[in-house]
Amino acid sequence: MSSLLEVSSIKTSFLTNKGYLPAIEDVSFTLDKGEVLGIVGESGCGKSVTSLSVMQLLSTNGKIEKGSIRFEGKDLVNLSDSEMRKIRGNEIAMIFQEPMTSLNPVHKIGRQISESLMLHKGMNKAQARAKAVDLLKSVGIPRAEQIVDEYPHRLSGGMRQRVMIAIAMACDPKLLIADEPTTALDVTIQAQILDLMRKIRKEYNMAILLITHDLGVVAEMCDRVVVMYAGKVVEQGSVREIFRNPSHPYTVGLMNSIPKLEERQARLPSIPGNVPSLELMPKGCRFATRCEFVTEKCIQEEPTLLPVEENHEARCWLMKKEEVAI
Amino acid sequence: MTDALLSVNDLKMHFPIRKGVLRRTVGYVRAVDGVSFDVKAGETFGLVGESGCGKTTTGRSILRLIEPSAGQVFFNGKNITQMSSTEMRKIRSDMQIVFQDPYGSLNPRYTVQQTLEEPMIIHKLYKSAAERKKRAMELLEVVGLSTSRMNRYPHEFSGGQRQRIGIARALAVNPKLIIADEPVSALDVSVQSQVLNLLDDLQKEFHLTYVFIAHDLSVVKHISNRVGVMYLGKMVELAESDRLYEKPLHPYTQALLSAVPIPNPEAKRERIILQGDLPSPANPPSGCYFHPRCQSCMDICKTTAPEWKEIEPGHFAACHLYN
Repeated sequence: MSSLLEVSSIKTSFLTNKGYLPAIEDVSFTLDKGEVLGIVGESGCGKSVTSLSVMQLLSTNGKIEKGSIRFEGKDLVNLSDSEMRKIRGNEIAMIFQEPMTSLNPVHKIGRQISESLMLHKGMNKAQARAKAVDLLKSVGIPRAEQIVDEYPHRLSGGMRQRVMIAIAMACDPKLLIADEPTTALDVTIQAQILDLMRKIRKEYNMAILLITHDLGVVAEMCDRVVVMYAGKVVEQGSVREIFRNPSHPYTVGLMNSIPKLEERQARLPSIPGNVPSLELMPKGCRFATRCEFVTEKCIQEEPTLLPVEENHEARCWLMKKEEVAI
Repeated sequence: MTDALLSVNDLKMHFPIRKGVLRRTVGYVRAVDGVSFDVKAGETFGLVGESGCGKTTTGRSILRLIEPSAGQVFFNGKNITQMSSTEMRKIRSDMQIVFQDPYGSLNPRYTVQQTLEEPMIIHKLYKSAAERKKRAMELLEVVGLSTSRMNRYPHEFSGGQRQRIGIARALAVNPKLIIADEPVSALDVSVQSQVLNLLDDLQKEFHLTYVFIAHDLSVVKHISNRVGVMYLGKMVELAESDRLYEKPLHPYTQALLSAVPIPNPEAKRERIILQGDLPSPANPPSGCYFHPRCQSCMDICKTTAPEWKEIEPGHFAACHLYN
């Protein structure tokens, strides 16, 4: 296998006062070199937990109970802390949703960029600083020589996200995990940041794992998509396939419930109800409580990922042709 | 002017910047700087713009939740900016607000019933507790929540359900106008569409007029009849919502529309990427506030602020390109 990242059937649980509750279960996907994979879903579907599991950044009450995460053939789950530290920030970098809180407010921008350069690349202070200025220029920050000595509070949200990207890019990572990188930003600033990410990807041939709730961002950025619902992958395939032929009723509902700019709709189709909570997960299909095509079988038995077409699968009994007769 | 339920005339909200031990005023943040628009009875008027453009401040100063620095607001023909606080309190039952954050805008120590009854008590709407309870139950049914959950506290509800409670509270006093300040921004798309549909149903049922404030252009377009676009405290364009999206006139509106990612990987289109960030409203640029980021900037834009003009019937814009 030549995949850069291979996540196979991981289950991550968190300790609550009701014992360990799984936040994600049986999540598998692969990511090739230079590819952009999107993970979409609504709040609580487990998309951030997935990315934190890959990075091994789970809080102390969380643990990966099952499965493996192979990065260039190495299983990250069994790595020691110090081995993981060599990979984190060096070969896999991450940018977070909230550029206001993910930068350290008491350190200058330059120092925050230099940190990983000095740690992973063994640069001295002066080299790291020079590289930091270069990096700031490459992410489109004006007056980079001055900004390098500023504190994060002096920058706007869009600028801070650029700094975050510069930090992530510092060690030329092979994989960039972007967890809702533009959610906190305005649309015009979002367009700037997405444009920057596209440029970086082309230039460095970097793989990106893009986590978002915005199907518009997915359509613009990604090659392939994984749709998650209530801790499980419900559909995956190429972007074109998924948007042309969404197959899981949840994906269809999600796409329909976005108001369209190009046309006028009298009424928005919506998905009734809410996401079930972790401790009250239905036994069968997790979407059964909100699905309009629900059958007895869906309530009793959970479907597996079934093929829709080549490289496109959905976790729904409707995909089994003989079940379609409703 | 005559059929306008709400008429906002040159509304300004300047927040003083104070410095030093004497708290002397050293400047002003021009959060809202001369905004005018009319809202007809029964329509939904959308206000869009990016963060810091003054849309929320506009909404709040219309209700006088913050006292505007200048300008007039007419509600039903009456100038409410001149009213005393007792008069204002009476008229507030006609104008209600729904807030963005369904988590922060409900009192966590009040049950749903208490939350819904509070405005009825303040406005002395019903005489007996039984009548109030009946009305509260009615309201819950109207917004699609089960009356069996009347004695629950806000934390027992999901975000979408909390926003329904917020809407029910606004409806409790039978308002004519509801200012909805980013009512669906904190919600997931599948829940967002439920709440948008609810707002739509309620408008038909109770003949409500909405001022709908949001940053999400597709949501605003979906729900509004007319839309005003704000930039740095000023209105830059106003038109029927279909017209605005079909043929945006102001370069800012064009850029804003082109920046929205379209959920269709096969859609190809020209994208205008604005350079730079929103300038500070404490120190706005000279001339047209948008000129440092504008692609069609001319010499006149740097010195003279453009006039607010009707460029085609019902379609207003403030831009030198159309002079």
